Amino acid sequence: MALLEVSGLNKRFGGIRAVKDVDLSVQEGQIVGLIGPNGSGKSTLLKLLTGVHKPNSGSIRFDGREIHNWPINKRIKQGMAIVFQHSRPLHRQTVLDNIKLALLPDRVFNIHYPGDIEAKALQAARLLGLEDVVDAYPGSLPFGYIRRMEVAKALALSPRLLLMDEPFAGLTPSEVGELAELILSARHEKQAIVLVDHNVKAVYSFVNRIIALYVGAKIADGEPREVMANAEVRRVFLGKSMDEGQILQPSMASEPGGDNLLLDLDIESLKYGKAEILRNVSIRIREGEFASIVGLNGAGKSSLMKAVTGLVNYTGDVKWRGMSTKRMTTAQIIRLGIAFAPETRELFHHMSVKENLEMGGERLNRHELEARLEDVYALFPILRERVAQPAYTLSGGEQQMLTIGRALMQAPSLLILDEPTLGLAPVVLEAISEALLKLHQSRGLTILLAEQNLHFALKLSNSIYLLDHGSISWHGAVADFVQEVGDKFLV
Amino acid sequence: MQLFWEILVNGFIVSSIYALGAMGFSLIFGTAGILNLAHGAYLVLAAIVAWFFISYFKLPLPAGLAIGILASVLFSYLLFFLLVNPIDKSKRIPEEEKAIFVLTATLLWSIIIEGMLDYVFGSTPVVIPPFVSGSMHVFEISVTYNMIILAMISLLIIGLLWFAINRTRPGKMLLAASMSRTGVAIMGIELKRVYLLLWGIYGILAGISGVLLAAFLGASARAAPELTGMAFSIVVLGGLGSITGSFFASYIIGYLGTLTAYLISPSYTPLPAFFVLVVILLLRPQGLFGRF
Repeated sequence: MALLEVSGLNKRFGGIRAVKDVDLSVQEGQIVGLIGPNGSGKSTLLKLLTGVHKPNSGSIRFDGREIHNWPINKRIKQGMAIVFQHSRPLHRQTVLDNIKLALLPDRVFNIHYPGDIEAKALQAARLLGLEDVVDAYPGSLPFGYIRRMEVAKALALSPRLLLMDEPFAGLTPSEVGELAELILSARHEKQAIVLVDHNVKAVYSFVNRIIALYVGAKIADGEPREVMANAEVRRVFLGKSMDEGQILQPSMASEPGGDNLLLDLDIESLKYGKAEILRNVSIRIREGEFASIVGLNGAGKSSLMKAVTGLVNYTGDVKWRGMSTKRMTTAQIIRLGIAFAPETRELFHHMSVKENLEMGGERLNRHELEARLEDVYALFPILRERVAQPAYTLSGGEQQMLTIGRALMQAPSLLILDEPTLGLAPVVLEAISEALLKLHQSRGLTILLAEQNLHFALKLSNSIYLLDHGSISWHGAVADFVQEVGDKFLV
Repeated sequence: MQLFWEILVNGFIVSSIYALGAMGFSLIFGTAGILNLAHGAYLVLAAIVAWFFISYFKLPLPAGLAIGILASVLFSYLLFFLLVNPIDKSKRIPEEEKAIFVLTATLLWSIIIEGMLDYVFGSTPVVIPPFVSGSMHVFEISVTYNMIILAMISLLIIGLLWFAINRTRPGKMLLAASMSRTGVAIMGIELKRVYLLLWGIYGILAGISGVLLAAFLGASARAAPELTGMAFSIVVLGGLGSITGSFFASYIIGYLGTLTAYLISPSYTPLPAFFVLVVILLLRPQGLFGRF
């Protein structure tokens, strides 16, 4: 009998079906990775297993018992352990005390203090290489140690099933390797592990089975090598399959024109709390160039775009035409001539299409404004039809067009786009792709695109930067990318 | 029958002034995401300062009122520059805890203003003298011209506010900021400029409604928390951030208070507002009009 047996699992959030009829079973000793692009439902699925969310229908059987309605603590008592994505250690307790916390009785009136708690906690600490820091306070330790401490807390319970939500997020590549090794050597053979992580490479080398999800449904399940070779998995991660040969011809985009350096970016480090998202990233963009930053989810693309536009803090510098933008506000950076279409779109939802566009043209006089509006309508004719509709009533594709149109209203020298293809239908992609091509080729607009859909990016760009776990691992022309990186992009 | 007309007319006037009072509160919440617990203190501050200049320095009524409103604007900017902006810019306060820091700061700010008013002007309730004299007889009751003027001014200013927000460029900037602050920043508009405008308008709105309220019901420093509570009930009932919602909710709360004052006792006037708050939070937390 399988240790964990899930069948017909469904979870809805309002009108969105985050998890659709998922079946899966996990045997003792298996290490299973759940992967999928943004919005695929993998995190929700894990949260259903941990008990953070309760399913709308379906069954979760653990060790033969139906547990889908059990609270988290009851699941843990039954032999599950959970490593949550965000660690919130007790900062006034030592590492050892933090680990002991996991071993305390879970009832207020159970005053019996287990005598072996100290020994158990120490052993867990030793297994994860924390023996030298057991008396340190979490606040004084690097992020990698705090992750290890969280895993030690989970393993101290000797669980039969360990559930981990993004255990590798925010770690440096060497820390990822260390943590993976420590977990593998610390666990005993019969323990099963289920984890979710954006870092497909880390998952690939860590697990012995992968389940791929896409818009809430399971699309592949099996040996890591098989799953990663699966045509549908490659399609959802890369856009169209790279094997279809469509992008082997060099990009349709023209060669960059001038030698005028617009953007000169050197980011030494970008951190959210202790998690380091970007390290030593350098990018140079010349006038007339179409550059793309490609990489999987969680690689740091959005953070990079936010750094350029001054929305997050970083160490290093971003220069625009030789001038440092580090001390500028977002609005000042935008007024230099950098327009931004963010991943979250940031539209003014209750304003009409026209009002949204007018906000973009805030600094123009009325004559220029009219001309710009006409330009945007010519590029995206559908926006003219929707001109009086509030932005929230538009479809996803129309909203994306409005986001780009609003950015263009600013008459920018550089257009930055963050994941414009996210969640859009192929026909809409085509329209956006054509518009970008037109902007770049006939109007000579310089464009910086951050994109997970590799096909989309390769088709349009002159140069490619591959962002892999916070660093640029490859950079060069499109044709070279296909030959040198090509298939190795995913794993 | 006379009682019915009295409740109807008085309720309308009180509700109209409440509506104006709730506008500022709703605007600050909708645009900056700040629940200003010092709101009541601003109303009272404007009223007491205006009263002081009118009764001690014998300034003409309009001049006194203008000084009261200026005081409210001044304190509005003080709150922004001394508390809200530093907390917002701080790198040592975690992002997710900033809202609670600002909330606590406004509560303390309210206590400071109340204490200060109490110390300087004493705690006896003050009344702003009537704007005009005389009264007329309608529906079996006598209605002073002053009451009519108060309601008219409230509604007029609400109308102006609506026009400014929906039809002028700076107004649209405020409206846009209430939907997406990042969106405003990436349009090349300095958020600082938006906030300066916002807190200025807030000070004016709070100031005007404060002096109008004091011209009808009187005001004292002790009443500040109660007024904040009323504004909070109105805004929650209407739906947080919904200006239209707040407008209609003001009439519900205003009439409930007036009914209580006439039928039970004037000292229980604010109670129904708080019952409504509890009930709405239990049954329909998004309020009557939801967000927007």
